[in-house]
Parts: sequence; structure tokens; C-alpha cells
Amino acid sequence: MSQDKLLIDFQHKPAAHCENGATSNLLNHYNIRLSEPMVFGIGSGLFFSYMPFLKLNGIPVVSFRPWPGTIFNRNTRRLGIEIQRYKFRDRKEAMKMLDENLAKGIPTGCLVGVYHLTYFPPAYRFHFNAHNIVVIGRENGEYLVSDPIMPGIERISYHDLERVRFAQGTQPPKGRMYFIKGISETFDLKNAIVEGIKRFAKICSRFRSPFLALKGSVTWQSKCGNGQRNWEKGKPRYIWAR
Amino acid sequence: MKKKEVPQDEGLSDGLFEDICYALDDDGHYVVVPTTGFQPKTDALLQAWDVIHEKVEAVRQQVLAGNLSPIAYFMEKNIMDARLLADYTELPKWKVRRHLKPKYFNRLDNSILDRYADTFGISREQLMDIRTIQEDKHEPG
Repeated sequence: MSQDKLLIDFQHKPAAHCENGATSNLLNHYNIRLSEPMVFGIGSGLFFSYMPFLKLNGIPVVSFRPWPGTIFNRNTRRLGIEIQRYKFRDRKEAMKMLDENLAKGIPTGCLVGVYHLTYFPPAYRFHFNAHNIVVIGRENGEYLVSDPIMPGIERISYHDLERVRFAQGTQPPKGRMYFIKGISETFDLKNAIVEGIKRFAKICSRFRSPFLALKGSVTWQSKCGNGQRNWEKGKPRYIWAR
Repeated sequence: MKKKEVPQDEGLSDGLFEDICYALDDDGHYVVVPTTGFQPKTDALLQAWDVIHEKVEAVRQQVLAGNLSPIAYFMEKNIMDARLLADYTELPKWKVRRHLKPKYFNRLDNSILDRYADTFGISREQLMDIRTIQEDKHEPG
């Protein structure tokens, strides 16, 4: 563990949104060159959800992206790529699997929490558990990480990586990791794009839930300001001891 | 939005990274444009931090007055609530709430204190020492 060096030749490109960036970079590694907007489109990445029953930092979650993992799943499915996803209970097991993957030369995407990411600027650190990074190597007990937000390759220690992979709070990532197992030589890009557009049209027009998609945004508008009911406002984050 | 119109205001990233935007260039094609920041976004983030700072300061005064235990201060400083802290320390929530009171905090044994200290990223001595809180200047992060 102490004196090893292992670096996968991985082309890092910064992106505007972490999951798009991670997906685009991972596909790029397997010679499928798709830009970030293209990945966003094929994955039908636009969404709206207002979830008053789910609290993040004490306030209701309002999100304009689908659930983490969705964009990667849709992209790979529509391009006929075989993937593998894992979720763990045991921390050591999670790190061992990651090490094995790196030894095989597979860049591995991880779902992490942002708060304990040491290379992040302090002002951006909130308890937000849906950030995607790609682990691409290991050097002297430190992991080399391609974070789509950062301009270059970053380093993070074993302890910190374990901690961010098992961050707690709203929707804990539970060490989730994903990687590409095999690619098909002939994929139909046109078909994938059409599927992406169709799916998005469906999301816009057919979702019946009052909290999701178009209806969700209408609900959210009515709940802004004084329109919120008490249970939707969220309690104050602190609990006073008497 | 044209490439030149992308706002380049003051950001909060400490120069560590630049946000990426997509804007039109002179030929009408979308290109990647890095931006240092956008003032409304920066203001919103700063407001969120202001709220947190106020809460931390309020809890700090309570701790120094002896109404709350140091765990309450570090919990607030790490933007946690009792449930989140309970998840990190793997303790029941009701126990964490109880440990916010000085009476129960003073009875804690070392193994539990270590769990809290490890979660907050400080040593056990720092957690126990009231001077840490007296001298601590709260910074974002």
C-alpha cells in the first residue's frame, strides 16, 4: 500500500455537471467520443423534482437533475454498453474492490459526498451526497481522482476517500461505484439520440406526480414564499438542549 | 448568450476551479467558456454561509455560558444536526441529543469521545478543551 504507483492513462476533461462529465470521460476512455452536452441529451438529463418529504440541510430538496446514476445508466443502455454497479455495506470491502479494479486498469466511477472532499474549496462544502468522481490511480497511499468539476487531476488520501464514499445524511452513497465492462463495436448513435429526446418529451408531458417534472415545477411555484405548508418548511437544523 | 457576455464576477472557488458555461462564439457555435463566478450565485452562497455563521456564533455563546456541551458547537460548525451526527458516530439519535447537554457530556467515556472527535476531525483533547471554542474563529468549511 505504501510505495506503489498505479496510474491509468485517462484523459481528464472538466465539465459543468459532475455526472455528465464522469460519463463523458469514462466513455472517452473506451474510444466513444461524446461531448458533455451529447451525454446530457442521450441521458435525458433535464428533469425537475420538488421533494418536500426529503430534506437536505434542513430544507426541501429542489433538483433539476434526475436521481444520481440515471444519466450514466441511460447512456450506457442506449449505446449497448455493458456496465457493472456495486453498492457496499462493508467499508474495507468497498475499498478492496476499488483497488482490484484499478489493478485491472479499469477507471471506476464513485458516488461520493462533497463535505469531506479535501481538495474542494471550503465555501462549496455542504452535506450533499450526489457528486460523481472517477478514480484513476493510486500513488503512495493516495488516490488519484478525476473530478469533473476540477481543472486537473486531484489527490485524496485512503482515509478521506473511504469517508466520502460512505458519507451520511440524505440519501447516503453507501460506497456506490460503477464502471464499464464491455463495449459493443457497433452502436447506433442516431437511435440513442432519438430515444433520449423521446424519453425527455415523455418526462415533460406524462408524469402524473405532483412533485416531479412539469407538475412538480407548478407545485413548487405555488409553495414558494408563504405558500408552504408547515410540514414542508422543514424544521430548524439545530436541536436545543434544555 | 454570447461568449463575451458570460459573467466573470468574483467567485468563491479561491481560484481552485472555474465554472464551465456554454455560450455562442462569433460563428454561432456553442463553445465551452470558463467563468470565475456569477455575482447572484456568489451572493446566494454567501447568504447561506451567513445564516450558518450566525447559528454557530449563537451556539458558541451558549457553550461558553455552560448551557450546551462542546459537541453542540462542533456539530453546528460542521453543519450537522443530531441525526446526521448520529449517523456518522453510529450512535442512537437520542443519545447524541443527550450528549449535547454538559451534564451527560461530562460523564462520557473515552471511546465515545473518540468517535465524536474523529467525526469532527479534531483530537479528543481539543474536543474537551473549552479554550478551543474560545479561540476558534469560524471559517467556511
